[in-house]
Amino acid sequence: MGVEYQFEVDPLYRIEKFMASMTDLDSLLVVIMREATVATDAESCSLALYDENTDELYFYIARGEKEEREFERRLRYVRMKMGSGVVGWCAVNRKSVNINDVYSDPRFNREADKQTGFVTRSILAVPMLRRGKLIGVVEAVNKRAQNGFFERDEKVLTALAAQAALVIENARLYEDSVRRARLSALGQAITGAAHCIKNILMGLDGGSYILERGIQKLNMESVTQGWDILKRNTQIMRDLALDMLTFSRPRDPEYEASDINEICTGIAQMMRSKAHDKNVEISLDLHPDMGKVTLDPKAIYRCILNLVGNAIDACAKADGMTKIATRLLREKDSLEISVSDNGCGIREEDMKKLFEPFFSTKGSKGTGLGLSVTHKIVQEHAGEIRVESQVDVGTEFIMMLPLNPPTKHNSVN
Amino acid sequence: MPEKKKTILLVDDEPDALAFVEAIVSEMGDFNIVKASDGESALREVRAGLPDLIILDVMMPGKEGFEVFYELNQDKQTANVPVIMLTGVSEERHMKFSAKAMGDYFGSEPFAFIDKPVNPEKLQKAIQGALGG
Repeated sequence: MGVEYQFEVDPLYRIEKFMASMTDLDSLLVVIMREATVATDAESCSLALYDENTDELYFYIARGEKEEREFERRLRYVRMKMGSGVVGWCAVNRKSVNINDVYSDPRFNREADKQTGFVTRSILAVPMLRRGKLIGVVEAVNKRAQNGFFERDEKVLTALAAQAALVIENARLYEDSVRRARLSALGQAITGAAHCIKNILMGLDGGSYILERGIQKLNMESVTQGWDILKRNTQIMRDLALDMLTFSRPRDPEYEASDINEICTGIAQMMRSKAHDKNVEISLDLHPDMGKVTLDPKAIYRCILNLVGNAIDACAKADGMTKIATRLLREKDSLEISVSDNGCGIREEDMKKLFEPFFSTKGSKGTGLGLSVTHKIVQEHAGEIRVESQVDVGTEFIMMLPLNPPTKHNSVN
Repeated sequence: MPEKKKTILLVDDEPDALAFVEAIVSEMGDFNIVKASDGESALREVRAGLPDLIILDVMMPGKEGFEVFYELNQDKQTANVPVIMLTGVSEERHMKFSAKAMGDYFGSEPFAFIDKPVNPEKLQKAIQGALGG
């Protein structure tokens, strides 16, 4: 009695240990099926899932062998009607069935054997039920060296089937919660975009109101002012659309041998007049004789442009200073690009949310997606971005890009 | 007797929004318009010279509109100045401050809440009401 009990419990114990360390559903189920095969001393064990939508069963794990994965994958497309075959009977009646000589049992479907050349002698099938719902069926096939499966085997298989059902239910619940989280994130993203669009609308309404009054009163100053506001806001709208598109789609970097110092110099030149309007000096600290590095120049240009724009806004006061620096770190096999400023800094509580879409401390000045897009581009380059900041002292954003990026072939999606 | 020109203080961190509100106010008549782009400078302007009306944006970096409103109510002198609040967020926590709740919390309520994007007629009506009364 004691020995028997241990024999039944052992496979469960081993599975618990595996469950703690594995999260992949398939791997867990394969482990359970292997345990079942050993515990019932069967030639093989299989697991069939019940598809609620089509009221059919299909084999999810066949034979419990990893080498058979390709076979399994194809087998998943084979659908069995509820009630057909031993597995189908077990599913419909939700009862275990133990058959010693399948060929003499009318429930057995000979077609499968005919197709595969396999000869089935004995079958033990057990339903997988969770809270009254049918998850599927677990079956053990061909008891070794015996005519059929024992009652004890039915007990063991029932316990393992319960484990499998639990694992499957957990995986489905996890999938549900991931889907819900994704929807909620989507909801938040839409709210963020709507807020940004509202601000743009305000600009467009304001600009056209002023422009119209100017035209009515033949006042060129108002006309100019209104038109400037309209132009500015249509540009912001364009930026928002571009940012949203970039952010929403995964994109492999279009790698090119690029002169990063030239890119930085170009940005500094372009931003200089805007910076001077806000009393900010832009300086460059570029690694000399860097030659060319492999990156996506258009994408990295956007990142640096975003960071420099933020830096200028942050230190828009007297003696504001923004610096763009590049460093080649051969020992670390990486390129370091940093943008620093002596501005207002970032508060501790804002640090965590910095790269979140539409999180902004700038009010309505930007699209709210600048840092999210920058972060995404750096990640797609297999790089890292970090921030160091002190309130009222300054901030530094540091991008580290690998000098030899992993070349993924471009996938069509 | 010629009436003294009324002073209206406009507070908004967005220059375009400020320009819009200024244009709407100018359409109504001849006012002395004072502009501030954040809460701190708005309070400074108020202490420098009491305006007849404050048009105050809610969402601003630094001192938010509600904070400014609260501080105005702390001082008996400034508490009497009518305030029209402009809000760009019609849901969420800002609307939790319904006019009555604000009354309970701040000791008084703003004269009006106007949604952004601003409807010029609505704002002009509110301004007339705030100044007329």
